Amino acid sequence: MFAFDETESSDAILSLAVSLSGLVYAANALGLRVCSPDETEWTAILPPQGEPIVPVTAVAVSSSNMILAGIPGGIALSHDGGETWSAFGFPDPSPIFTTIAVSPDERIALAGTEEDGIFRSTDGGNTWEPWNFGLLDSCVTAIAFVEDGPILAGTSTGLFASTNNGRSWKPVRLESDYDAIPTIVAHGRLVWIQTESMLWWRSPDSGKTWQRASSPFNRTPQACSNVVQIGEIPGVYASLLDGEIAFVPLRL
Amino acid sequence: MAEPTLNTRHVQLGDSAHSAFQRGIAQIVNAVRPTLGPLPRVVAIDRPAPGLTPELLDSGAVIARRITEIADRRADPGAMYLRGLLWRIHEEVGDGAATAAVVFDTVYREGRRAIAAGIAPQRLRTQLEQGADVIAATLGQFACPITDDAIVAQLSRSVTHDTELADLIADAIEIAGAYGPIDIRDAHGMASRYELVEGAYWESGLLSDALLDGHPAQRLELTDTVVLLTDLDLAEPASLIPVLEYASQTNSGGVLVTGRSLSPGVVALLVANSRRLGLPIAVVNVPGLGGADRHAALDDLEIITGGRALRVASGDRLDRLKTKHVGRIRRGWATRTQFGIAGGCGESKALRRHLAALTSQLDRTSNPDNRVSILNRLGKFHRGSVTLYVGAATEAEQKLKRSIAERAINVLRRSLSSGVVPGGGASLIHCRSTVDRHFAGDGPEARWARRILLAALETPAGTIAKNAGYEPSPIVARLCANPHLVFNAVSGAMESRFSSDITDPVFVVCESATRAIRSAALALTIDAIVHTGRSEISVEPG
Repeated sequence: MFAFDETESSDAILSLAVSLSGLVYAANALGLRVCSPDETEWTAILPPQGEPIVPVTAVAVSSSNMILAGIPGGIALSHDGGETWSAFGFPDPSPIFTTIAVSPDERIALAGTEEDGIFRSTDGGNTWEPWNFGLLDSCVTAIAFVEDGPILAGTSTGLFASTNNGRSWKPVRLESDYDAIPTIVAHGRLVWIQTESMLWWRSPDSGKTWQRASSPFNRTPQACSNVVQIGEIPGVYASLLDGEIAFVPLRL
Repeated sequence: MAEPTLNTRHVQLGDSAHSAFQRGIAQIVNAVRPTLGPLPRVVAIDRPAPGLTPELLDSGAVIARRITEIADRRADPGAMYLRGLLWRIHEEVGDGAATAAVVFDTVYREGRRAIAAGIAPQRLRTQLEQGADVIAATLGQFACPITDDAIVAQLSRSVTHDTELADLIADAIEIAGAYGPIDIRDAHGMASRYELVEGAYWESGLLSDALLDGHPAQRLELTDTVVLLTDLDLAEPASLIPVLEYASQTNSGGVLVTGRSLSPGVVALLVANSRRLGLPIAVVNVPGLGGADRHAALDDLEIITGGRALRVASGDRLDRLKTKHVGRIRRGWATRTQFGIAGGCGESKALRRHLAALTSQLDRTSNPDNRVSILNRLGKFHRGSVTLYVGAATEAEQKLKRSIAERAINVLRRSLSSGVVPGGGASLIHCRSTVDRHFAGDGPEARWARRILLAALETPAGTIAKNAGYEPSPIVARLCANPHLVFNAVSGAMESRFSSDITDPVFVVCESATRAIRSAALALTIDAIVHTGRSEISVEPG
């Protein structure tokens, strides 16, 4: 368990991501920082040292350690662990990014926003275009690529699925009547989603069927990263109510 | 005795009427039957003007439609009866006319034998209609949702018989889904292609070109824009000042207003304020062709933008404008002929509920015009549209391809909502067991109805096999014995229905078969025919 600065509201963690090598990336209003679980110090990587503050509202790390960070007006991209960055700027009105996800083969990257739906990249994050066919809700809160299954997008009114690499979306029917989906956790073919009313749903078969379930966590995460395996234990890095960031195992 | 004229009516009764009616039916069926299946034969239709090459058609309904009358005037009523059925199926269902023709033929022909054996036509009709209900219910139980894009592609090919067009349409449907708009236009040249357009657009443009003043490309780009929806006349300049002030106070990137008309005074105000505030201001014609259309369009725009429209019908006035009336959009645009929205700020739950209500209306209506209207409305919420450009070598071919594309899109859309069943006539054969059980142990009319329907259910599969060059009887027998099989007429192989992509849209199979059965059942009750002709007046005894 490791702390992330002082617990002031402006420092609240907005997004977490963890690389295959175990580096944890935490995004908040002050920027993007990285830490190894063996260390206690966080290192600011965006903005670079000496640069003005750049709020980072979403972060994702690909399998080849490409870092994507949602910043005001664009998405920043680094291929060298945050040493250098390039950015794709979006035209006005500038979207506010809430979530970013990259496919395991890195062919497709999707960025969800507060009011502008989803932006899609098919060139490794270098360029983006809005792509919202069938996405009936512009407020996207979570995106996850599911093994042998669709891409899932959580929105303020429910879950959507894309079976064609994000080219179009269809609503997924759950019993909850237009409940927001702030959290999607995907581990292999297992998927959990949490609704705004704190209900959990679980799919054992890559999103084909869903059942009500208990939380896969023994603690309540505020923000959580993608699933990573520590030893034989799958889990997420999650920001907790007390301001700590901890590895929280999944209850399979 | 009066001289016969063109309006002379001839009456045929009884057996004479029945056989004439059947001859007419046979003419249409024989023209249409070769087109059934993935390996259809082509029918050449002579043109009215001399010297023109014949039309080559493989669509059963279009072939039937080209036959506007037949030489045998006594048989013409039967021909036109079936022709009308096939065209209605074509218009309302989009496919399945050839299936309907062969099913109709079997039901009518076998039904005539039943009546000759002493069965009362009306009682037989009742039984046959019950059987049609049983078949519809059974097909509904067989239906599976489409989960594989390969099935969409296969369905597309089976409707269009044009691989290039089929693949484009399948791709377009993959993006647009059941409700997303697909606009079909002519391409310049032979190649067909599609383009994707973000957001929704309406065929309503700016009410004044002066609003384009200073804007490049004759198009207003709107971002973070305030929206005022109304179908009122915008006559008083002062009436729009509140919305302009609101836009300025909230640091909006533009103003979008709908209205019925725009006075020169208001135009002058808007142009001046657009320059002063540095805001693009778009005033567009309220969408919709008439009252109901406009109300529906305003309803939809309210949901998309989160605003509340000021309406003539409600007695609203612009001087009563309040904040609650004002909507917002993230991005939009307007030109002389259209305006579009690519990101409305309406409340998402309200939008989802509105869509659910529209979808429910769509499911309840069978009226084609209503369906088109509701689909157009649903499409506005899809957040994108596909424009399919259809290319061809000649204008006539292009027109035909456009018509094929429209039909295919209609069929595929409905398949996405209602599902598919094993294709090639297999699903109808699989209905035999439920028909058999339904009529078990009933009286003579029921036994005849059972026999007729069992024969009719085999006919499409047999015809498909024959058209593909195979002996139909062994294939039909194998399908009857094995409910898990479908026949691939292209390869000649039997395939498992669980792994095969030989499928048909359930609504096409259901509508074509059941409409044919009901229509043939009704035709069996016809006992006299009155037709016109040049022949002498005659009343032929029954």
